[in-house]
Amino acid sequence: MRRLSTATTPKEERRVDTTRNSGQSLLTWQDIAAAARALPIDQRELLLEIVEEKGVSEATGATTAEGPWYLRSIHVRGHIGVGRDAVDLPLTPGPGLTIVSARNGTGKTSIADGVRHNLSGGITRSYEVLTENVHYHERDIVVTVSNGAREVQIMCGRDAIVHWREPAGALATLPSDWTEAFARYMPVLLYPEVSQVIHDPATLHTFLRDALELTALQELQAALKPMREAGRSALRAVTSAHEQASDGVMGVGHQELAALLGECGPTADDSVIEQIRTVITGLPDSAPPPLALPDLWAVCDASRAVATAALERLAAAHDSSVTGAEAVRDALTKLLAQKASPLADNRAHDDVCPVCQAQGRGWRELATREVTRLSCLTMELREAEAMAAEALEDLAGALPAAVNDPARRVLGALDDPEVDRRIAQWDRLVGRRTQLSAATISANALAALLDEATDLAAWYAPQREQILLQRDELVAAQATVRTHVQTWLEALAKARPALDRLQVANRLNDRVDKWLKTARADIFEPIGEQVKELWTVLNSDADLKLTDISLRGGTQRQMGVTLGLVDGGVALPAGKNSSAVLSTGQRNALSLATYLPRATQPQSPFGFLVLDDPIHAFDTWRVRYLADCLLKLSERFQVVVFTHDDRLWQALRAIGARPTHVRMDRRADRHPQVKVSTVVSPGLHLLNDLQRVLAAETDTAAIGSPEAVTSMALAMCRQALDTEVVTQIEILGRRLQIPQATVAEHMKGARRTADQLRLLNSYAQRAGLPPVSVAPYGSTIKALNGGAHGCYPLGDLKRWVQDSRRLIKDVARIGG
Amino acid sequence: MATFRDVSIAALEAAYSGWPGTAEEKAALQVLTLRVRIERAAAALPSTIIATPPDASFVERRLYLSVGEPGLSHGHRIRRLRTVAAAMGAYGAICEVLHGRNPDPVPPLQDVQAWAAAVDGLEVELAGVQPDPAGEHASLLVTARGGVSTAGPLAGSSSDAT
Repeated sequence: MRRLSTATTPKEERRVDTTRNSGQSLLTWQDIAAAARALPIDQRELLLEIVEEKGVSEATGATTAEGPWYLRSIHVRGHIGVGRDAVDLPLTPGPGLTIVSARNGTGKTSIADGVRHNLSGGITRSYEVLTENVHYHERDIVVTVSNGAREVQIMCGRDAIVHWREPAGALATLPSDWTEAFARYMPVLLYPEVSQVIHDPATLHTFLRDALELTALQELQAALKPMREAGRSALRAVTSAHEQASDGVMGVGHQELAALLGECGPTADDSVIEQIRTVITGLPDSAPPPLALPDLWAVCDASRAVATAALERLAAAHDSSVTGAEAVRDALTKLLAQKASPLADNRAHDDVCPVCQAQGRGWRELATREVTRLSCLTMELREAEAMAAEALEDLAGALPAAVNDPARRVLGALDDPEVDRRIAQWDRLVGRRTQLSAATISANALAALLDEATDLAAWYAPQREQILLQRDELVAAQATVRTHVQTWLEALAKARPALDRLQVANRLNDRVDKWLKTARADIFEPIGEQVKELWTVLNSDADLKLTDISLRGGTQRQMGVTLGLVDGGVALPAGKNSSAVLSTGQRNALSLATYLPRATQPQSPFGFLVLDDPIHAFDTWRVRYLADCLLKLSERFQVVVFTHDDRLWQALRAIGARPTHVRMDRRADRHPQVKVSTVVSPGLHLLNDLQRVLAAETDTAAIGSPEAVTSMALAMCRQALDTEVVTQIEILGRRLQIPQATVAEHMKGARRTADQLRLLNSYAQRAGLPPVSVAPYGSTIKALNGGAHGCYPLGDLKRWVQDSRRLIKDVARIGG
Repeated sequence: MATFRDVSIAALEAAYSGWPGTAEEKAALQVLTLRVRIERAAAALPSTIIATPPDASFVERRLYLSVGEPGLSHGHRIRRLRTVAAAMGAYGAICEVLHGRNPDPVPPLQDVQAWAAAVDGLEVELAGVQPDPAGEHASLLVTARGGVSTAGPLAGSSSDAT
């Protein structure tokens, strides 16, 4: 038995391959943790932080690092078609080819499924299986794996839960890196899975889905997502605060601060922030000085009417009065006074009026009436004057006040072509207002003055409102600019960690994107190349060529595999149905051509491949091509093939291979036990069977007559010898590169055992190998030949059997 | 080749029955008896069919020559040809198994049963062959299945016995 510990060459080759691909495909968290070492420090710290949160150690998983793992034995009981009697398959844990042949219904697929179930950790199958054996419910599956240093049992019972048992006996769940690796490389392929691709080759991408799954990298991106979202949210808040601060600064017209804010952007560095802090410290605390704009004025219609009436009344009073009337009245009043001496004198004389010289005592009455009339006129004039003055005083508020210098500057700054004229008008009205008195203005003049004041007010009102609004804004901006800048700086300080992380997370995310693309390409491109190569091998006699196989989608778009097929030099139209041209056998070839590169990736920790019925629907030529492939693979992998079809075994024999041959034979229906036997040497295997029978039977007479038993025993010996001879002829024929047809022709001409031995020796001679010495066994060969034809040679059966064993061993040695 | 005594087919079949193992396991022994039956049927053909001494050589030639047995009707010749062809098919397959040229050393029972039917048919067909009038081949009488053969100088003297 070959031991893994001595099989260093394939292992070393695989390690070389792994080294060659290291650093390209980050498949696990351990790979990612290892890749962190090559990152810039900020990205490395962030990545390792995530790795730590995931609870992943940087060290590679123990189980996968300890690979390649090989199968040592398989024990299946109570699983699908295997009942109470367990099937035990001993295997050689190392590179090599093992053919497990059995007829349909023996339980090959049940065993392969049991192996897959255990090794995968019980992942869901893509096909249906019987939940439990109908006759025996106590499922018991044990797959023993070995890496040369230790052996581990992977087992499950009735509940189908898979456990991992170390040599010490402790039960544990399967290591996650093991199950992840199994899902990725899927080293066990059952026909039900292949059949899905056979049914529809367009589903090839689902066949490869697990192989292309980059779960760890996708989880890493998912871990980065909330960081990036938090960072973007923080950036939006800081940007908004920065915009408000900038607007405020622009509002107050602080050029220096505005320039600083504009240059640094929302995420200023510390030095700029310090400058900004210094600048805002110098901002005025109070509002700007008052504008001292004159109040608005308005002409009240009632006041206007009162004033007009008063001025008209005054004018009428002036018209009614006479010049000097007051003096006349006063004089008359004195005259009429009782004690006035002038009047007394006047009375003493002719009673003549001293004013108008009217005679008679009647002047007194006239004078009295005149005094009364003059008094009334004077009173009316005084009242009219008083009312006019009062009315004009009331109208003072209807005229503009004087414009002070600040207001004059503000008004002068207005963007209005009428400004100058209006200010001149204003000044003129102010002057008129100053000079306004009842004595100097008429009702008409007052009306014109008021009209002009109204006109100026109509212009001034919106201008004043605009000026005040601007000032309010200025006041508000000045009052809030410090707050806005402070708010922005506080928001920036608060968001700084998230912003810093955002930058790192974005860079790391870009890198993960590249890793994803690289990893997918690294995985798929070699698979694609090997698929084309294997397709070429498996279909070398067909016109249908596979020129391209490419992967599309996978991240944003749905994943798919595109096949480029050329039939007889004409490219088939691309599209979903392009593969419809493939026959069932070609579809099987395509699925195998896809599966084998996937399962044999150099990074795989599994040194084994288990194939269930891989030659389904294959013609004889394709079986031969696959035999070639498997033989080459078996130089690096432990290839275990379950098949009911002897053609694979024949094809392997034809190309000179000597795979380990395990036969599974189901006994009679009443004893549905499967007998498993390893065929190390086909000839010795048959001979061992015979010797077991002869040794077990102490009295062969119980079997039959001595003649018949001897004849049959010799016939079996000859079958064993011939089997070994034919095997070696085919091996040497392959080694000598003799065409298979020529070998067959040679075999046809050498029908007898002695002829076959001569043919073998001739081949050995051509190969430079020592021939088998046949002469000492001449009589034995004759005896074997006689027995094989139902004859009874006289002699010692035991010696013939021993001779047969020696001869078979000699024959078996010839081909190495 | 040495001259060995024949073992009777009955003895071979008895030994097959007593041999340990299931029918599936000892199918190779069953096909051995079938081959012996075919060879002995061929060897038993009279000199009117083939002049060479009766032995296990030239099995194919002997059997196909039986198609030309004098006195057979056309229909009978066709039937015999068909029967012989079936038996030769079985014989070829059996030889492949017993000479180790089939990777499966234990043929399936279905095949064995089919071969057995072909051999039964051959024996029934040849049972009607007129015996050698000169008695040259009297030492070997092959009857239908289960018949007893006499010992004779058979094995090892042929040029193509396999």
